[in-house]
Amino acid sequence: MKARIHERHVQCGTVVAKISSNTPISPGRIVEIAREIVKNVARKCTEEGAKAIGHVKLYLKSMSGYLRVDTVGLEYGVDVEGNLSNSEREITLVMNSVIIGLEENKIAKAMMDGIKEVLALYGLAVELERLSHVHGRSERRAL
Amino acid sequence: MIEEEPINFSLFVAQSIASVKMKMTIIIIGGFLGSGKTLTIISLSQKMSTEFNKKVAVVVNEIGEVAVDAKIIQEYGLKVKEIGGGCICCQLLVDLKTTILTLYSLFKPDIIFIEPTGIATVKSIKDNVVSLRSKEFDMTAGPSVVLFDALRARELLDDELLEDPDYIVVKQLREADVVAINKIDVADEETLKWCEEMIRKINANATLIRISALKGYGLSELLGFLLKSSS
Repeated sequence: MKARIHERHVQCGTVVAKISSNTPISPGRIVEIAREIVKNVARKCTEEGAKAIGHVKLYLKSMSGYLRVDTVGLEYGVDVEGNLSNSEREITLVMNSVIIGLEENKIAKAMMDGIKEVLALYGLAVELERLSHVHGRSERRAL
Repeated sequence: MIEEEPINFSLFVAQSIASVKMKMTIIIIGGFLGSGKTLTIISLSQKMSTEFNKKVAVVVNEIGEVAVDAKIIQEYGLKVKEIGGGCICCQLLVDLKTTILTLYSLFKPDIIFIEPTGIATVKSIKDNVVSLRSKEFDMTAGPSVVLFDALRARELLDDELLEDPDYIVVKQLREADVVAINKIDVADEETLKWCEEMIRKINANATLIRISALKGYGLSELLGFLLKSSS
């Protein structure tokens, strides 16, 4: 990422979501899903023309614990931190993506599409909400 | 041959605390995106609480609408207030003042750590913090710490980037009182020496400390320096 990063190049998207499943998802599977979401969002931002990944951060919260999963670029891997002790049917997701050289709308699209794609692969339902502070509105989209 | 007595950093820190009258101290832990600010704050806060029985609170500023880092810090049982939707170094100074005063009135913490966004510079935040001092509000602004990510050292700095006055990483390092070179557990000695040389070109006066927030290396030294400098 040898990028001359100036403040004006930096944009951020935020998505919150509720993930639900008919059958409980094991902690190991939740970690796998979270890693894939972060990787997929970073990949999609790059495909949309991002100059660089600043920081893609995912927070998952359930009754039995939490996970934080993040990357500063796929070449540096994905870090996972936290603890989930039980299988879960419902998980809350919060994601911030700080991206260099990509418009906020494209970041939000990459996040929404990236999350939906991975969850569809695992057969999970999700209710997504994109948060935007520029115009003070939020959009609700459900699968 | 003279053998040097090993330095007991925990004892050093305890003596630093005992020798000064403790007031509320506000310490900024800045640094570029992904440099390890949150984990460093969590680790320092835990040391302050468990080893020195100090009350710690955290103010987190994130660019996004929801402060993910604040949620993580809360998972560790720390008192945290978040400021989202903008940058406290330039846009949300009033929110920062209000938040600090709220934390002070609710919890009377001994230490408040401020985690700015990954693109914030620390000087304006520190100036704002200093302006809070009053007869009713007994506080000290500690040194501004900027973390530098040793894992990505050669991506983040080179001689050409040093010449760019608007490059965020250089601006951050220039304003630091302390530069904590983080992630030393995954960087070799050659890289770490290179980091120190490059940082010195940007900021000749900052104190340089090597740490690994993940492994706990160097945190006692950093903590001791922060407390001594804040007295």
